[in-house]
Amino acid sequence: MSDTVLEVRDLHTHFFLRRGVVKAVDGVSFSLRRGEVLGLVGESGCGKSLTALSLMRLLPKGGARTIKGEVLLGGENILERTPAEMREIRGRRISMVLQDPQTSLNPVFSVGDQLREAIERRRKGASLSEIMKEAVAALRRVEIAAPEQRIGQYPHQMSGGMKQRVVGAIAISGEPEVLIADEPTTALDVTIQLQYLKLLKRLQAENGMAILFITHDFGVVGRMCDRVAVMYAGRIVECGPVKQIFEAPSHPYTRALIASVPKMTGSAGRLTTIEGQPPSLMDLPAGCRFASRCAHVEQHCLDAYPGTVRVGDEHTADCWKVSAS
Amino acid sequence: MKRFIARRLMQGVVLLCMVATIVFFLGRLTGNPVDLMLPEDATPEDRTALIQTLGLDGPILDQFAIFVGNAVHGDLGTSIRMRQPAAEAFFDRLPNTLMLIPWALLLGMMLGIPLGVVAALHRGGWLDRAAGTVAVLGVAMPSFWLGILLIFVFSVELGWLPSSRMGGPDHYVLPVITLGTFLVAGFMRITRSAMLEVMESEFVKLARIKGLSETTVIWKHCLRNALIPVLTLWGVFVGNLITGAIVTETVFAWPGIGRLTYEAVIYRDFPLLQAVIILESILILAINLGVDILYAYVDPRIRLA
Amino acid sequence: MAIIERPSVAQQRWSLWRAMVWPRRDAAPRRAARVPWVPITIISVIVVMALFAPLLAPYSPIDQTLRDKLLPPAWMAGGSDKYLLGTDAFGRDILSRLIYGARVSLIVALLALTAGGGVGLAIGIVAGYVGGAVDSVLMRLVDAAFTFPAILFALLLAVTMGQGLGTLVIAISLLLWASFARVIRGEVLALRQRDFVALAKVRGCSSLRIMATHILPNVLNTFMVLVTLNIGVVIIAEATLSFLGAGIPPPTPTWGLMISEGRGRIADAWWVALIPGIAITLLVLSVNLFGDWLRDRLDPRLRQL
Repeated sequence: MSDTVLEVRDLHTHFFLRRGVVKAVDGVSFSLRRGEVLGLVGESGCGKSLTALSLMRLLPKGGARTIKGEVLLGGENILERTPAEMREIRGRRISMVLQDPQTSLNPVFSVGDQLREAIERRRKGASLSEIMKEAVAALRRVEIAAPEQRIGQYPHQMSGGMKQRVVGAIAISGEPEVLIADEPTTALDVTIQLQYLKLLKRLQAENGMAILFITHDFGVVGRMCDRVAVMYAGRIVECGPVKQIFEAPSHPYTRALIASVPKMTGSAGRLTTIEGQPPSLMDLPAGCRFASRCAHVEQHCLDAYPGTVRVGDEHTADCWKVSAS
Repeated sequence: MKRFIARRLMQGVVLLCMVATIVFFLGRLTGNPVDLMLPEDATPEDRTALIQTLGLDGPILDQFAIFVGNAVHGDLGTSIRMRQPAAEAFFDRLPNTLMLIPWALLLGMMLGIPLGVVAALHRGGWLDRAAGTVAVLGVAMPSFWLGILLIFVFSVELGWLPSSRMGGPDHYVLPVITLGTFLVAGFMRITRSAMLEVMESEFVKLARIKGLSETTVIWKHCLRNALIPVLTLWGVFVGNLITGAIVTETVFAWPGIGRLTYEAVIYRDFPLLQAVIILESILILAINLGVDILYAYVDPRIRLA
Repeated sequence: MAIIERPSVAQQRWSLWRAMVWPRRDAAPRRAARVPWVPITIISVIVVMALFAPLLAPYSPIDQTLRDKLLPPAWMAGGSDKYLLGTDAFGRDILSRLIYGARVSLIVALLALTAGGGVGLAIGIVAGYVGGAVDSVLMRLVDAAFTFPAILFALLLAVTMGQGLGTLVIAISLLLWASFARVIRGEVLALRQRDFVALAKVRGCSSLRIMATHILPNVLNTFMVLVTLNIGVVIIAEATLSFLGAGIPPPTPTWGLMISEGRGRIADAWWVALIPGIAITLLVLSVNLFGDWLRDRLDPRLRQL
């Protein structure tokens, strides 16, 4: 497909520790189309954030390495780029919003300074006043009131929601093709969360970038995303259009996740939780990784990992119990 | 900001009062301080005169009032050995020390901070380990012995540098190294650990996401934050620098306040020692206040609070 | 505007200060710490030297043999087999003085750590357990103690009280108590929240009893680590005070005094001043490395010390 901006194939990022190998990302594949919002959902610790950092090639220190797979950005594999080439790609073609606005901004530089650094890369040789004008415009774009005053302020003078808007402004100032949003609203108040999501949606509509939206909250997925990929223990277990996934989830894990979202409508909705713990990423079972928590488990689930089954037009699931359409 | 300075100033005054009180009562620990304050050849008339000026025949609190009163007017007693007002002797020597300390600080920062950054960047590598060894050694060597060792190597054996007294630029080299070694070790260690902490932070990740070059990320975003604790070190080092100056100036016969302190000790010149300690305390507090203000300037979180 | 909540400058200084004085080597992923055999051997040799000084020393450390003055170590030209490490300006055997000097260093370290550490322990427990105004007053005192170099007061003590073991121990205790008090207080603050303390209160134990029977045993590990980490500090302080003429008076051999006596002879008899310095550096280096290891063994939480 020509409008695919980002394609990830069989990505493996492991932590090599003294105690053993933690297979945090273990064979992840998905694709992202121009102007689309893809949700990446899963419990904490399932490898969502590490997938994002692998795409940015900003792995945490201490033994994390991407050992296998391809990340095709506009058709070229960025895992093969040199560090210097990768720096050119970051911010300009692929960018990211981090989880915690309180620590994402450098406390000793003003907001304007930090925004300027990002804009300068796109506008090489522009005068300072031009760049500052653009920085003000960028703040206005993320709906910050009185940006002329805000631009000289330091992060500690702003609220969390406002800081996250600034982080957003910085992330998109390079006009990237792909924006990764790693649980951008988790640290915000509920009312602010909604505003921020609307803002992201609007920005995305304005410049047609693709968003990889990482969250653990299925409720947010329904509001934000076009398609959704469900991740469990280092792999994507189900992927498809939001509507289909909500209406007819195929994988038992997805079903359990959706059942655990509190519904606004419907009376006496009983909240379900998923029993048990996900398997240790250091010692993964040979068979289906959800088998130990699955209500429909059978012997062959324990013996071998199920292949990816096409259940609908764009809908896939990794489960023995579903049949191909 | 004004409130911040005012508060620090108040704390300084309180601390100074504590120092003065301790000094005063220590002098009275072993009976009549007159015996400590007069030369051995003093006449009984001298004795009576001093007892009267200090009010030593009165109750101890009155004596303390007189002591404080005199001190406020700049009278900190008279040196026994030099037969000169102690405060005067101190201020005569102060410039010589103030010509030594900035160079030692400069050496400490110019060497220690870049070394700390490099050690943090190569964490666990041979550079880091080499720097760590130097730091461990720098703390384990008594600085007076280091000074003597330097004299032995560079003055006695090699004959490159003078071993004592003030003079041209070459006279500064060995004392500055002696005084600065501890600082190099200290600045290095703190810069390293501060850098390691900052390098793991989210805002550094964001700086990388922006696509900034590694040079900008390390030397601008990381170092500027790491410098905040490093700057506080100045304050910590003021006290150490004064102690270090006593030792260094003794080894190199440098005519500063450190040497004056040493002389006051070995000649049992109590009035001089008492004055020197009070004045050095004021110096320490003043520099600390300066550092606090500078600190507030570097860290916007304090400046604008 | 309100002052924002962040560690006070004094607190930050303290954390820097401890990082400075007690160096630690934290190479990236920590290997299971190996037993530091070399430091342990050096420490053992020096302790044996101190314990059995009269048996081990070939000569009296005090008797002068002017005929044999300033002989170089045995391996140098002009050296005599009779004196392995040479002799000083009074013809005293340097090896014997070194062996007896180890006694002074270790005795002072033992006494000062007991006294200063003990006071710090008590203050830390009381401040941490009682809290409130008592806590803030005590902690202000601790802050003050960090601002002023204790060496200054140690010098003053030496002049007013006279030189001697007692003065020296008090002086060095002044240097120690504050850091002990601060660390122990931190531990106690955490302990106070624990169930067994609440249970003891319910049973009607008095505060004093809780502090003695419930809190104290739980901070002893930390206390022991602090003691080990401070041995080096004490040894350097003792040597420095001896060097400045405020330690144990001559003719008792101390390492600092030996360096001081040999200083003037550095041009023609380097061994007199340099050999004791090597002993100090080796010992301090060894106890610091040993202390690092002990801290990691006993209490990994203390790594931030």
